[in-house]
Amino acid sequence: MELHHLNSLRLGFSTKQAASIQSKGIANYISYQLNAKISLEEPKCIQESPKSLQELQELKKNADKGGKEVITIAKQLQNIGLQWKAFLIQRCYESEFPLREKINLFFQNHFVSTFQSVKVPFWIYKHYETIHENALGNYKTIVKEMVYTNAMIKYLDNQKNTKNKVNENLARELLELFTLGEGNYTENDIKNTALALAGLTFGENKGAYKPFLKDNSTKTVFGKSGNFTIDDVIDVIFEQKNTAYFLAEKVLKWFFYDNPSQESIVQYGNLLKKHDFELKPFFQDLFEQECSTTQAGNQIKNPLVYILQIHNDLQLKPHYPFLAFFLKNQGMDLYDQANVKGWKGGQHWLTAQMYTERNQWIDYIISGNKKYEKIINRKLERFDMEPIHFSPKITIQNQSIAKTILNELCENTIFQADENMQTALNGILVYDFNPKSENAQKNILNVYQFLAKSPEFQIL
Amino acid sequence: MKRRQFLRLTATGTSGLLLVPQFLSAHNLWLEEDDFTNDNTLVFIQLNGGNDGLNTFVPFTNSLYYENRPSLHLAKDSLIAASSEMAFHPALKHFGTMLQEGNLSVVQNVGYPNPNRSHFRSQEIWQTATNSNQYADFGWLGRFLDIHCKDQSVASLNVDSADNLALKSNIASGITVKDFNKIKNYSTSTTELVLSENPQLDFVRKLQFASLEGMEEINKALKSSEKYTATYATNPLAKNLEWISKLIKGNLNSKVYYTSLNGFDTHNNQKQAHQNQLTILNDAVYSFYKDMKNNQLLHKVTLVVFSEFGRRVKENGSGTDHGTAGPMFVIGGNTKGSILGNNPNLSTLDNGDLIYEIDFRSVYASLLKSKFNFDPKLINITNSEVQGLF
Repeated sequence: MELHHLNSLRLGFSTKQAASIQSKGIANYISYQLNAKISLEEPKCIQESPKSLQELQELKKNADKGGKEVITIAKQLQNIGLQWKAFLIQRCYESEFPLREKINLFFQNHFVSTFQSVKVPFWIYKHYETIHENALGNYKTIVKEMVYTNAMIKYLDNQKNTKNKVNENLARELLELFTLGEGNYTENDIKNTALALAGLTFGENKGAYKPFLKDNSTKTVFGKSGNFTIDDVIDVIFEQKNTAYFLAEKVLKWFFYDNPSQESIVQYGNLLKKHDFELKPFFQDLFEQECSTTQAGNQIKNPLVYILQIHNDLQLKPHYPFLAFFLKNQGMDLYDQANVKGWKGGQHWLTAQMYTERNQWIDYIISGNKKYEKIINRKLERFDMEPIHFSPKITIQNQSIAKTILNELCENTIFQADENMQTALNGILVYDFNPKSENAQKNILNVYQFLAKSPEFQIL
Repeated sequence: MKRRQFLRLTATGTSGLLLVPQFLSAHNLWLEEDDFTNDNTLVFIQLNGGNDGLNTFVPFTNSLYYENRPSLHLAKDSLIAASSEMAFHPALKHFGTMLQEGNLSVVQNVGYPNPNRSHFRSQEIWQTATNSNQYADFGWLGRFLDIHCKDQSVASLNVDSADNLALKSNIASGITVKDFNKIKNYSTSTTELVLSENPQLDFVRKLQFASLEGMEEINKALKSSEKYTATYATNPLAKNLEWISKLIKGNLNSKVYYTSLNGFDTHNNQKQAHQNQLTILNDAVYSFYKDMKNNQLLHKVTLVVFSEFGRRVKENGSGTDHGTAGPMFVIGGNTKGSILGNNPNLSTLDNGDLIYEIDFRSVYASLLKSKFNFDPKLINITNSEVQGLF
């Protein structure tokens, strides 16, 4: 695969940015992405949903009455959820700065908080906004900000954590999943961190301590003692060793390797430490280095990259709610991970079932399949969404002969084409294929169909 | 679980076969199981590159043949006689045998109006059964299967590295498998089998097979066909036909099997190249033929051999250029075993090429009508059937 295309996929969701990467050069491209001011406006579905604690309490009262009201509320919530997911996918696909969206998504999967569990769309939005505003700041800051989001408090039950009845959920995940990783803390550290979190509960825009629920005793974490708030505890956590490596490993997995080497984890962990947990220079260095290698085939494509790459290649007009459904079926339900650990990635992205579904989709796009379309549209209708219909189109720069077409398609779409693959391709588009024939577009799409169904296409 | 069982069984090889009494043919067992319909099975071999018909089925009494082919003509006494005027290439020894046994028909001068000499386009025409100025999204067999067996799990099976347009359908399901041995290897989940240096790629390749719809049925068929032995020639086409045979004998019940053989684009060094490819064809087809015959399946299985076009009458250097019409072979399936159509007319040519006399779609029409009692008009084939084929 041609390097600019490869890097466009690595740093985004499709090969749409290949030209821009090529003209700017990789270092400039990364810096251009990382330094852009990107606006985030509340989407309509969030604007219209209840926000203040008072509104939310009223909603809860209504729901508690039971009966029809509950069903209506649940349906509305489901619908907002779908629109929210559609909104996120739209940002990923249409943004001029897909790297930023990919980083945001990384942190969403790092600081998992789900729509289904939180059930307050506005809080989910604020969670995303917090990530968006801090994703390139200091890692310590973003950790602090995250534990204060209403979404995180709800998702990890911290509203139930009070000085009289401690709930350790948020404390445990803070140590296990947000910072140090398993095995790098004691149960006592968790207990004391939980005490420091006691009383931190929902507030208007973000969480706040309720003085009468807060614990004011002395806590000891990692050998340091004091009447700590959670901010103080996080400061202590960041004095511990493992956080930088823990984060570096997850970043490498998200962007480049299903199985990063121990050396590179250490190398980039040290880099993050060197930058005092400042994320922007860390990302800049890491991306620049890793994008210089043409060696690909190290990562199973996540469903979002898979589907958006195809959308871009085939110039499909995206139907975002449909894409949200597709991702859900593929085990990548945005803002609705199955558990607090987030999407595992790697080989977990594919099962025989999911691979079959990917192939059904590509068959449907290129050859048409009324049954497939009907099933999807029936589902969309239930959410008052437009039906799907796609017209694929493919543009080849050098369409002079079969060989140039095949070559370009391979260079732009799959990480490698071995001898067997070449033989198969030469059989599909025989060397004397006439690119000007009436049916040429269809024939080229058949080649794409073959490529998109190949194992090679599922890997980056 | 089922797959694992299958693997164990294939892994133990053929040792158990000796226990099966000789008189138990696949045909008996089909009847026993009684879920085999009376339908027939078609097997296609597509010769890619444009097979030189004149040197395959040779008009050895025609002086124009020798005039046009001063260096490429085949020596008369080396040929395998088919009739008083026609004979097979020396490599096609067993095509002669099959003709003698009354199980092979040759349809001569098969082609279509306004022939296209591009491999790509002519294959597309043969595969979609359209006029040479028309296009279709689905293959002729795919369209047939869409109507004839839309609910079947593996309506067609293609043994090749990529899907074949002829089988492309809207509803009916078809599978393309390149190497059945790999299925076995790729689905070995218990032992960590290393196929390449890339573990992620290996992982997905294994999944690719598991994700093919109908893989369970295929494994089942392969397993149940272990009862039958057969000896096949050792060449890639024979290997493909052997797999097809196993699936037929294992009662997979696909209506159409398809495979191909490359190497017929003989612009240069035709003598040797053509000899090689026809030897492969002869050995592979005869292995399959004997297998079907021994298992009393030949009457139900029709093997069709064709190429996208024949080659120019006049030789050019050490080879021949793209041409038009050529012979088609139909084996088994109760074919009448005769030579149909006129012998090639070498005196009236179109730009140096043979003028077709029988439209390939007439052969298709005969196959659909006689083997499946299917009206070819339903898939827009309006040509009349070839008389005397079945």
